[in-house]
Amino acid sequence: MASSGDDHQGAPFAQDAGGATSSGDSAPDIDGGHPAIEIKELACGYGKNQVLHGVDFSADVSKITAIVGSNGSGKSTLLKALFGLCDVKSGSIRALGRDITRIPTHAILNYGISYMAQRKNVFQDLTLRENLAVVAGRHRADRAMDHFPELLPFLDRPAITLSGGQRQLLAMAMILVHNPKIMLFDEPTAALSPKNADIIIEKIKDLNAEHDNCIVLVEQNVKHALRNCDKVYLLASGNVVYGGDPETLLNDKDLASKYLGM
Amino acid sequence: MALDPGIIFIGDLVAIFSVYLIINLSLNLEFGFGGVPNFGKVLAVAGGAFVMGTIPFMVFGMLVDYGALEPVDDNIMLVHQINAYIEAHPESVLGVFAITLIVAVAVGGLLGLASAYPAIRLRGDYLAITLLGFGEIIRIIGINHTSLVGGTLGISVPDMLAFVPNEYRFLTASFVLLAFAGVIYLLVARFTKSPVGRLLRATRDDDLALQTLGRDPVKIKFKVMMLAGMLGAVGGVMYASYVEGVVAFGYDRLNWTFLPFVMIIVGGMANNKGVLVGTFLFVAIRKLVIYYNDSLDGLLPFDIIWLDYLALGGLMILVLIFRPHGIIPERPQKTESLEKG
Amino acid sequence: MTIILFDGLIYASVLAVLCVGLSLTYKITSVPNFAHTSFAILGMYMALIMAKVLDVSVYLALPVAFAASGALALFMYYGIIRILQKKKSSLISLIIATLAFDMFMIGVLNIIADGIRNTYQVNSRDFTLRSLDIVIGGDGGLPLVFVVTLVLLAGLALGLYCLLYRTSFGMSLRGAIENESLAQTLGINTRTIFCFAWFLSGGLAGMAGVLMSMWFQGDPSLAAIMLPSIFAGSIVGGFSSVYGAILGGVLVGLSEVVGTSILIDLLGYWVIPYRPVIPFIAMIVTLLVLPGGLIQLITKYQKRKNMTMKKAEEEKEDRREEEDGVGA
Repeated sequence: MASSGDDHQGAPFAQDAGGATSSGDSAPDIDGGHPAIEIKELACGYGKNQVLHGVDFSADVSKITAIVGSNGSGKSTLLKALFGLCDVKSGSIRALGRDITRIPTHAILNYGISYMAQRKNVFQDLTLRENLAVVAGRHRADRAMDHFPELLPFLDRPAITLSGGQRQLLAMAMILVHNPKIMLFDEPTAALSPKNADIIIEKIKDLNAEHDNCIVLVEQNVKHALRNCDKVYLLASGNVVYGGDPETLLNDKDLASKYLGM
Repeated sequence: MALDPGIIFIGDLVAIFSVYLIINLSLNLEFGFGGVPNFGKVLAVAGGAFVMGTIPFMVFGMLVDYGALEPVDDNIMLVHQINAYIEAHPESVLGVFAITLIVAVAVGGLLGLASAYPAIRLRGDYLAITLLGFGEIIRIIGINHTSLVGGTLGISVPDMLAFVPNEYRFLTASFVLLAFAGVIYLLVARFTKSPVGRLLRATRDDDLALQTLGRDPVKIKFKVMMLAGMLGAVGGVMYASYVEGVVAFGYDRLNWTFLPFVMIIVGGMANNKGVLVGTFLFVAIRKLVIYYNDSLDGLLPFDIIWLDYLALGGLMILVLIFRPHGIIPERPQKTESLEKG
Repeated sequence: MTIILFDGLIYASVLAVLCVGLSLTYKITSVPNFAHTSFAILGMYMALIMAKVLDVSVYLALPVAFAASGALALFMYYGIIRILQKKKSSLISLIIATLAFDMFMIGVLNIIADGIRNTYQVNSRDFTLRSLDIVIGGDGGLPLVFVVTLVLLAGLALGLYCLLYRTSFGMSLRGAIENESLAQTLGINTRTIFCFAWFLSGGLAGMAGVLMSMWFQGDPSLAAIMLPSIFAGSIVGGFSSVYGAILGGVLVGLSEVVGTSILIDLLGYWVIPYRPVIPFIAMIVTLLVLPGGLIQLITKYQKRKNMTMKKAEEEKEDRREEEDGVGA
């Protein structure tokens, strides 16, 4: 990973004075016994509208943790809470042993976490190169494409001209720039064709295998999620109904039929 | 005979309060209830005032022999002559004032329609810009079109109460204005409580729902802007007849657009009682400031009038931040807007 | 004839600089800032203070006005607009707040004007600093302010292009304008970026005010008089584009000056005071006919091209999928 000074040359205002990458590098040793993410008694929502009511959650290093549940169960909100995108009322969120509960959104990257939103996760009016430059600094933009050779022909086209699958790949390339230890994906395969969905999921699994990252995946497609994860959380109306390994959930006829429609 | 300064103070307070009450009720109708932020409120008010500066001369022209006198060029002499006629024939005032009001209402309605036409289809911000522009334009025309209301110098208008003995004239004016304002208040209050008023509120809160119910929100907004234009023009007539003159320079954004906004927002939008409170509060404060003006004059190295701008601008910002719903908030069916800030 | 040329080009350039700032802040906050011209008037009084009170070159007022008006704009954004936005105030409340700030500034600027007059016995109303300017090539030559104004506009156009399209800061700014929350999740401190943009917008207006007072007149009342013109310029060009703002500002400025002089020839001198009606009509016609402004003509074409490219990409993907399906 390049030094943070590189970033600041191109973007003197883009990141906090601390430097996004340097503090990410100096994050506490992830093998120190902490789970990568540890959420306790989290209650949050938007304005007066409370969505999560006291959720406990943990995700481990080098594992893929899936969050499933029906629409409105609060699974996306859980990721948003991690990234300061909704109002936390009570509870705590720790990442790699450090408290990030009320850190402003733009500073959370510094804690070695990145987040890929479900929709609108690339800047449509910017070209691919510019999209990457926003996160990587102008000079390192091209190198960020190493993992995504399929996007190289489009580097100077506005992101709005990409197909759905290509757009998700670009969004992934953007959040990978800072080598995050924890990656949050909010329904990365939504609105994709089955083949594209497979490509994205494979990429995520590759990442996990290659970098030993902690990956949290919110998925609408339950089968997809259960097949690919190490641990699963089932949410219903803002509460955790199940948290554990995917096989047990699949075998629990009661839960599966009630919440997963199986 | 000199009147007691206290009486003058109160009489003037009542008169100015009445004028602003009429204007603010009209603004509240279109903005508070209808959701149309008319940043060109001054348009209708100036329209009414300009009618007061022209129509009485025309109508009295049929009753009085002007000779070679012209309303603008020989303004003072002509007004003197007309006032003498009014003293001798008090009954003429009724007709003349009625005609003036009718013309003003028509003009105000037309101005409301004219400004609504390009504006009403636009988004909130473009709407605001366009309406503001209309307000600026009428002032420019008033200042420069000398034959209308005397241009930069302004014009005096006949005293509609010239027949009242001098010692009662002042208080009679205040009383008449208050009576007018009271009647308009009752009419507006009745209107806003009626089914049409509820429809108006529905337009403000949810254009789309209204459309699905088969009502055309554009049409409703047109109507309310016309109505508000009419009332605004009545306010303009009242003010011009009270001060017995029209000076186009005076019809500016601060006094006839911004101040009404401050009054209704501080009082409480979409709430006629709130308008009453807000109007009284501000007229009283400004009267007091002007009353004590002289004592401050000379102490400061600048014209005291600018403090007015500082105070009103600053106060408005503070109210928006700390008390956005006013002293008396809108009560029934309060609806939170989901608008993105 | 030359005088109309100077008048027209200087006015048009000044207007364009003001329109750029207005459009920039509009893009960021989605609020039309009715106090924008007051930043320019502050610049005018900085010029007066430098030239007549401190007795230094009026051109020194350019950086001073940039800093002062920029700071004022920053205060307005940080102290008022952002607070209201955090409280989820409606658009109309925000517009009223900018109007209120304008009123406040009318008071402040008039107090400054009165203060200068009463303290230093300097004419501070309807003043002009034209006589202090250097004329290149002696009498009848090229006034320096003319050159400086054109250079400022050209530099602004070029500088903005470099900033927005050649630096990652500018790209972040464009990204943050398009999608603020995405920018934040990618680690961009959007608050700092927007503060910078507001500062820039105010600073540019301050410089425009300095130049204005060196050719035309300076007076607090210009804030209200110029307001319809700068809104007209921004809207004619396309309110959401800084390049549209330059285009619209120049067009509206020229049509005001040249149009009025043509109308004088045709109709007589009585038309002069009606000059502000020209931009107003231009604005209304634009809003009714081409609400996206002139720039829309270009962006529309670009948008269509983009959509065609997107469709082609998706079709290619579908075809690949089908082929795979057959192969499997």
